[in-house]
Amino acid sequence: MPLIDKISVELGAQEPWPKDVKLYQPYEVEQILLPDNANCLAVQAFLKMCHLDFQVEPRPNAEAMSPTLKVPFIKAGRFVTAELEGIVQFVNGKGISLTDKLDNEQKADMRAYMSLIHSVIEVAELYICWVDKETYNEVTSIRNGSIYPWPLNYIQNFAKRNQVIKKLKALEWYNKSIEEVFQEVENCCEALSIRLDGKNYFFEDNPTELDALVFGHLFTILTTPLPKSDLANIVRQHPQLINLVQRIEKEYFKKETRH
Amino acid sequence: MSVQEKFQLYVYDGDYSLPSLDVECIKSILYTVVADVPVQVRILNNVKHCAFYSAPTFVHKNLLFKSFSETVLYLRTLNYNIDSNLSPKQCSETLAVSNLVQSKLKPVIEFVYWVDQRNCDEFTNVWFMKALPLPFNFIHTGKFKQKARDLIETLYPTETNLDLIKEYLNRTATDCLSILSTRLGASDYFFGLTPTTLDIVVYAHLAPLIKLPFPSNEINNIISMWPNLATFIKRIDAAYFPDLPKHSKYLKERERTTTSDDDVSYIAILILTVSATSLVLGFAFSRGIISSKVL
Repeated sequence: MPLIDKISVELGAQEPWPKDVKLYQPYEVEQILLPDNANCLAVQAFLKMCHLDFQVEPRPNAEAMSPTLKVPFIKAGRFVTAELEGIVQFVNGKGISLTDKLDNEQKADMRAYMSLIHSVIEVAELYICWVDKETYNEVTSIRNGSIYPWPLNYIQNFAKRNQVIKKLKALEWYNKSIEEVFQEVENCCEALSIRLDGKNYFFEDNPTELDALVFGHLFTILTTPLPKSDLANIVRQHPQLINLVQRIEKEYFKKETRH
Repeated sequence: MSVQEKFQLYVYDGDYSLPSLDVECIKSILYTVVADVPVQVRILNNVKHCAFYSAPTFVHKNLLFKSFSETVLYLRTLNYNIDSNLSPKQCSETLAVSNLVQSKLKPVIEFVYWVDQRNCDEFTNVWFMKALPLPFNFIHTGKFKQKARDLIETLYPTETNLDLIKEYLNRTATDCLSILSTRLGASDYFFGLTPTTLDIVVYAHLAPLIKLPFPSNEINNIISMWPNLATFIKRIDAAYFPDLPKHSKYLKERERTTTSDDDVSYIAILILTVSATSLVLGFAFSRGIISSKVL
């Protein structure tokens, strides 16, 4: 979205996909938090769907390295691009696209559902991680602080928490009770499940970036152990979505481990 | 009938053929009009209303609903539902597209209303200052400004240049509008021949940007690239708000403020004269040029 991205999309178009593309993200085992993990996984799924090679490069300060201060970001040759939307544009600039066959109306639909996930599921994940006291104390504060030495971890946690709360306040989510948050997620899953309507992917037989984004978020929610398992339980009530997640995992992630 | 008469809706005042100047209020008003709820719309223009209610507030007996979504949920329990004919798939699309509109166009509206310095100083702030009663106009406009600034800051944490932010916002708005235009196509409303919640959300976000006379508003030009969106707004206006006055209730005052350079300088001259004389008199008095006995 920023100007630099626009330039890199235009300049990068002339070059083929470089061999040493690196995807920077926080440490998966001990550091990464639910919303970040979901976004990183979504980008990985998208790149795999495009059959593009990349290496995951874990860095403790990936967030601070990113041009938009959000993980993940990729370094392809001379260009650095962050977040799913930016990376999708960058890849499209090289003539690789998952949405070639869609007509305008379907593309509009796809954008609408992607914004639904960003503005509901992602914000709900932030809420659970940083506002819910139990999750914050038992998971978020420990993981987020894990890369800093003793007094600094408290300071960093405090600063980051304030920042997230400010964001939630601006989006008018901070005043919601946790039940309302779960209800929003429930509505969103319901809508996704109805839209999927028994198909293999959201748009017939080929995956798009929407499938990648849904996979990233739902897979992370299902596999991350949290003191409150309500989010995972909500997702589990929608077997169609579970099928989609399993299908994408089998298709694009299992192969990797066998090779 | 006596039960129904107790529906009340408290909103900010409207102007320039808008039912209200606040997006959430427009949504609530339009929903009640479309769903035919016999509601009494009250305007926050006196101290009592402002002290007890925030806008939009829907009141039924002693129940208060302080947001559009709560109001809609409650009205559905009373069988005022305008989405009852939609299929589950259409409901799912409603949720997705209205989220898209909210997440892409709300920042644009907040920016045009309150963060853009010229708009805020010359139009929005002046209008709300006039429309609300005395202590509350400062409180509400202050809150609005703070909220808008917070939203823009959290959306663009790395950017401080307002012109660049404006460019990003215009780009996301263009994206969103082209999606809406594609979805709407040539049909009257998004889902068939009657308006639904989605139409209300879209109207509430587009109408202020089209109708309000902001000193600087590029979005208006962007919207006019899709004529079907403009006719969509006109269609809803004609069907549900046919008799809202086009001329402004507060425009006369606004004109005075735009040509009020002379007034300001009179006041300045007065203040300067008074302070200068008192300074001279004070100096003379302290040096004993004028003695206290004379006075």
